[in-house]
Amino acid sequence: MTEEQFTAAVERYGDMLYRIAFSWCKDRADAEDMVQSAFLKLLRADKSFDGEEHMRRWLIRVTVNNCKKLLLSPWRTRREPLEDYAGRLYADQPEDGALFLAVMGLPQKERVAVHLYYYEGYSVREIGRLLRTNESTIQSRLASARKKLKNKLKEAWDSDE
Amino acid sequence: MTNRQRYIRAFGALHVSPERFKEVYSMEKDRKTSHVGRIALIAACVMALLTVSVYAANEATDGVVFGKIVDLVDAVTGKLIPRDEGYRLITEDGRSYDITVVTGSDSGTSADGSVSYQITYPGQWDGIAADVVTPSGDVQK
Repeated sequence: MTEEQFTAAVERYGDMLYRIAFSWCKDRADAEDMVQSAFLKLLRADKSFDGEEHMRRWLIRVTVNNCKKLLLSPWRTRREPLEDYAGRLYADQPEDGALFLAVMGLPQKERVAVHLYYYEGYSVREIGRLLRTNESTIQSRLASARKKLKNKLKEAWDSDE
Repeated sequence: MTNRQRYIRAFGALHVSPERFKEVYSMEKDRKTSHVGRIALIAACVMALLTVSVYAANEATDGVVFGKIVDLVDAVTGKLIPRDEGYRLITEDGRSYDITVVTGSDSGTSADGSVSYQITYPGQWDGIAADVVTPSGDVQK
């Protein structure tokens, strides 16, 4: 993989992977580490992909696996209070900050399903494949998450979708 | 605004620091280069050792008696005399060497000092029984 290809992949998928990793780790530094590990793996794998979507899904899978391993690790000492991070991110949009904190308050499995569904636009079936989880399980995680978000955010979160 | 739009707007604020990845490629490239460098260095060392070994082997085989001994003959009379000293060792390939000591299983240096030899032979010595001659490893040329 050339430097140009690598840079293009980082620019295209860096933020996406970071958001997914953040929804797992709830920590900026950890999430950045996970993304960096995924891109390092991309470099070292020297893999050929059948298209952009193939590479995208591969990177998501690697990031998800990295996050799973991290959560099992006892060496997770760095912690930035989520409220501090949200305070910096959403200084001008407190509503967005409220949604961010509400999602981050969900159980980890629900957070990830919500993120892949609402942000990345994956279907329930696709999320099931990415997380190697049953479709109906994803569906119930989403339903549970929606209910909690609606309770927390009241009118700011509809019960549609 | 739909839930999805709200979500995208909220989480769109999350960005990874691009600075963090600027060095990743070059660091990985350096790592691979140094890895390749290490392999190249090891390969060079192995090649050097092999070269030395081959050189040593060439040196060792140069003038050394190999193969089955056809005859041990008296260097003076030409008769097959399988004992005492002063014999000529003739190998399958026709080379001959004057050797001074052959008793049972023995080693020594040819009379002219050109060859170190080691001979073992089975059974009764009949002048053609010796069947192995190996280089001694300290050939004097």
